[in-house]
Amino acid sequence: MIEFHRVSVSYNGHIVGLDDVNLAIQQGEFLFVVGPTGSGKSTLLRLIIRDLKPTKGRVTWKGRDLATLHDRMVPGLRRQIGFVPQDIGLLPNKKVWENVAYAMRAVGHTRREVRERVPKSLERFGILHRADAFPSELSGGEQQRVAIARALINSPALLLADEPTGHLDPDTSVEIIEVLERVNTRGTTVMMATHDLTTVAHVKRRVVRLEAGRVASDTMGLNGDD
Amino acid sequence: MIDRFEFLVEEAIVALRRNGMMTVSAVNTAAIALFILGGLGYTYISLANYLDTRQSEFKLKLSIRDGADRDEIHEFAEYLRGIDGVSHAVFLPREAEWEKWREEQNLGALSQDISNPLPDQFVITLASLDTAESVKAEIGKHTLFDPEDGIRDAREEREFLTSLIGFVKLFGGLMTAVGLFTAGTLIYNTVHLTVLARRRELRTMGLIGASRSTIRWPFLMEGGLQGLAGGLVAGALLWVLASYLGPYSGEWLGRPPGGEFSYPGFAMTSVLAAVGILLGMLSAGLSVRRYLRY
Repeated sequence: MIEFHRVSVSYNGHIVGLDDVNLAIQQGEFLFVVGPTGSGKSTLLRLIIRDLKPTKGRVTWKGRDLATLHDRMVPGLRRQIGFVPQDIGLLPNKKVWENVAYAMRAVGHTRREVRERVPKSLERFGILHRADAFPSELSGGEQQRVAIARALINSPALLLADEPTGHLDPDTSVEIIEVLERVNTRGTTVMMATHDLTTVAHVKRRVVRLEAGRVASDTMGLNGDD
Repeated sequence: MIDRFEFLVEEAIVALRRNGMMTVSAVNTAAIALFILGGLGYTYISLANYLDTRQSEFKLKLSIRDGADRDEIHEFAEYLRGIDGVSHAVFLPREAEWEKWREEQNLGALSQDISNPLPDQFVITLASLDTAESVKAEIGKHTLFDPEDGIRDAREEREFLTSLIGFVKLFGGLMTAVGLFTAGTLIYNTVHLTVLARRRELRTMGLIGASRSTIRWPFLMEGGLQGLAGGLVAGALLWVLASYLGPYSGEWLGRPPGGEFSYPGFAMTSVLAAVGILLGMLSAGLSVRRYLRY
């Protein structure tokens, strides 16, 4: 589904984001990308949604080199991918249901489809009762749930979550991981970047560890085998 | 299609409402900028029009040789009317002018024995003062023109008015252009600040797959609506100001001689609203552009 072929990214010509990374992600996988701050986790995710282009190497999505994708095609790519950014990225002046509805309306869904699907999605993620709240009125966990609901409202093939448990307490973090696991069992590929190893230890999934922009290990489970 | 348009309009209106203080400040700035621009522009246009109408008051007067017959005079009149820059040419027969003068002076029988000293004359109204010298040169070429009397015109006053018109048009045009630039800059800065405050929103919209036009259009509409509101406020303020100050103004500000001041309030407000929409949309488009690059 996604392949990284000897991918390097450098910022301003000398700061290394990624260094000669080779990686393949299969459809339906649940993958953690772990590593300390600055190890290249966010860079990896940003390459997939074409928020960045590699300095060297190729990133392919379903066989298509993303660097050669025309700018006009980028929204089309992003509509196949649900993205939960590190800063959660909820639109501050929109209510919870409007945040989720925007993702549908922006890609051409009608008002009627929004009325049908948004309440179901909010209910699925346990935030229907907060539908009319603004993001600033939500807890961290609720904000993450809204961001995940928004990322999944258009049924993408892949969900990318950048540090979704970054500012959450351990219980809420586990709750979010459980939500992502449920999403994965429905067939959506999930790729989650985190530095929170305690949370990762709860689940036996593929773990790619990045260090200084390089893949240091690629194992099943936090301490598992290649 | 309608659903899509509704979505974009709704996005713009909701954003304007929920970014209340930013909207108010953008409308205020646009209103002040357009008020200054409108005031400058109206004063400039009124003054330039007034000076243009004053031009027609300057006339050339010339005598023709004695003994010209009716056909020659008719042919000369056609010649004069054919000269580039001549608006009207009116023949003044010497007998009629003499009679008129005598009546004006109330001379009656006293002047009966005096022979008519006046020549036949033409009075020429120019289309523009700039053409006075070339018209005079053309008149001088005709054989019926009497060079002894020459062409009588208020040359000094004419030259002063010509240079005044030139100065007013240049300076006024420059001031209006500066006003337009200032209004554009002020509106751009304010709209840019509203966009800048929402740059994270713009990024998020892009990341969730919204196309550039889906992101851009609500912002353009917001900018246009802010400009429209600013233009309407500025137009209304100028209208109120004009209705209070207009009656005390001189002819140069649009009051016809002896008539009442009439301010084209609806037209001015419409123009300011249109300029506001244009500047608002342009500013929003330029501000958003840098955040829509992939």
